[in-house]
Amino acid sequence: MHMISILKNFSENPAGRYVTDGPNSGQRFRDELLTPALRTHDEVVVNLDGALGFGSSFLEEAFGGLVRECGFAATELTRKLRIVSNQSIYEKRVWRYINAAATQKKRSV
Amino acid sequence: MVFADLIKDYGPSVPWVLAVAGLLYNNRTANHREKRKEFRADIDSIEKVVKELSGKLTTYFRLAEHTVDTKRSEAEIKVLFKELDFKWERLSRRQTGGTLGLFIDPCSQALESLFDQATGQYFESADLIPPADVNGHVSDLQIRSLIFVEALHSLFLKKFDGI
Repeated sequence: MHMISILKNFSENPAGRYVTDGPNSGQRFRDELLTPALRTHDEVVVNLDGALGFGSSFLEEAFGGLVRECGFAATELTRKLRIVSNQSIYEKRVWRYINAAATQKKRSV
Repeated sequence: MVFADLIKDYGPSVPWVLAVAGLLYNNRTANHREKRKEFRADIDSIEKVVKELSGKLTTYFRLAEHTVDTKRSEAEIKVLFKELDFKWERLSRRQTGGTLGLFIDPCSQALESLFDQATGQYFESADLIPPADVNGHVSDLQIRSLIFVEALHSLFLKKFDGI
């Protein structure tokens, strides 16, 4: 099991969608931390606690982008990815973005 | 004869039974009133955050350029959303099970719709929203805020007034 803490391993203030939006973007989080961890570990736990807050652009790009850009299937992520947060609403949002990206991908195929 | 015996045996305890029933009824009514007050206070508190958030979002999306205040403004909006999420989670946890679930869903959907629209495409983005789209975007956000608040009031009415 591999643990990623947004606060300890990334930033207190995750912000923006693309790397062009800033240094703490969802794209950078996904490409530098999340994707490599998911490719090399059977289980990855992402702890979202401690951050200032999240915008949907960050969450969508970081997690929805796993399906859209990195080729992960939603079912595979259900098996490998676990979201931890003291606010359950964030966990629900992450899975909503993953499932929406999967649905969109299916439609476009 | 049997009835007379009953009166004779149990008559003296009738005032006690009535007093206990009265106490139970009063207690139940007071609990209901307290719950109503707490629920009302939670909704008022959420509404206050939504109004503040709505004001901050309007100012943010009307910025003509990125300044040093932009980052501060973005941080304030995220913190307010976090506060809103906390307050909404606390309120929705009060309402589990039963048909009220049907009224929680519209609130959740309205909140998610507001969150997606407010912190989606143009939030924390290097690109500013095109000037021609600003009014429409801000108006859309205000409508979504009102829909969320309206959904909360519907939840309250359903719970306490059965409407």
